[in-house]
Amino acid sequence: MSLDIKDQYDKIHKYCYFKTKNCQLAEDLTQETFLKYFSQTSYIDRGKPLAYLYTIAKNLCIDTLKKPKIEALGEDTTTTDELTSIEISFVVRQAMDTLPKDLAEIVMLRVINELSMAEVCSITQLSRFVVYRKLKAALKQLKLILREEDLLE
Amino acid sequence: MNRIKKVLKKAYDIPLSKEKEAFLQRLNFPKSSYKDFFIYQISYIQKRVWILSTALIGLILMLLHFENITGDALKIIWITSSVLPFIALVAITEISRSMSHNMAEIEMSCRYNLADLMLARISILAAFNFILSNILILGIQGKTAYSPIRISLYIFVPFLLTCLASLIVLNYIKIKETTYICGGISCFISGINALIIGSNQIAYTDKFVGFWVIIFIALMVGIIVEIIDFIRKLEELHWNLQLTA
Repeated sequence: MSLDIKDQYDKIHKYCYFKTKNCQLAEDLTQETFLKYFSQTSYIDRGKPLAYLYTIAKNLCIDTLKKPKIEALGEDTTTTDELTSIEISFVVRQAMDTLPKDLAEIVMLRVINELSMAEVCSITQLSRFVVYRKLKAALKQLKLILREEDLLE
Repeated sequence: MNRIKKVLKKAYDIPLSKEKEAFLQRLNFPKSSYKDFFIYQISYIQKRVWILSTALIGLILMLLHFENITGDALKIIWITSSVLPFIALVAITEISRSMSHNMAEIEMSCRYNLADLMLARISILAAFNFILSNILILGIQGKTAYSPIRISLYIFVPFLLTCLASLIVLNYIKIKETTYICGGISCFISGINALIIGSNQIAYTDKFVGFWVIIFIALMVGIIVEIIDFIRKLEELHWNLQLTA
């Protein structure tokens, strides 16, 4: 297998967190993704391993979100600096939620998880041109929202 | 646009997972085979090695084509055997690069040790040069009265001599500038070879074929011995690095 598992673990974790918005749930889903991924190895050797990994993660997230939600408990107390940072992150994540799902997913894969254009195309099953166009539109939209919130100059 | 990308990345910067290491250690995933490792090494060999070697073979074939020297066996041998040492030099520089950087970091993260790694790269480069030389022999075939085997003998003796001399340098001279010494050796062998063909044409007659065969075999044996020594010394090198780390 040519994927760096440690690196992919973090990326899949972020992806699941983006989908579920729950850190612990995202961790569980990440582990389940890897267990499913390695449960049958026939596809890994000849297919598109990264696209396969993200498809498993995506389907697991969709299945989990269909189930009744369990409220997460508050984790720990935070300092003022951390609070500001958390607030910014919260606003950015909210801005991401306002985007159409397909655009947000492209931003997640390309910008946050830093996948190559070819990998994003393979996961989303879209052409390079469409991905580029959607990414540009998504970033423009996000920029407008974040400017309104005074997070960008 | 970069600012927005930074903000986005930070927003999804979730805390490092505590369970990650434990999970990955327990995870039973298929380990890469030696075949995967071997194929993967191809991507680590610099592109310029493939390009330069192919360009040199292309140059020889072009010279042979445009010079229109069909029948002039000595000129064909002169051109090809003078350029081939430089193909050996390209391969040797790649090997010396891998060795001089020690690549200890690969060894730390890889199931295979530095000696395995070097052996894989030497084998890949040798296989590549073998393919190129076959293409060359096919290109020369029919242009001279000599048989392909005899042509191979005359052409590969300077090539093998360059490989052997460079391997000896790599084995016994432990400085970073070995590449320059190997470059000097290649030029020297190429020049000497051109001089011999120019002045001592008797060496290419039927009488001396046995002599060429002996030299060829001796060089092959010498190269094998030096490669074994090279790999063995790499193990010693790692042992020394562990002691001094």
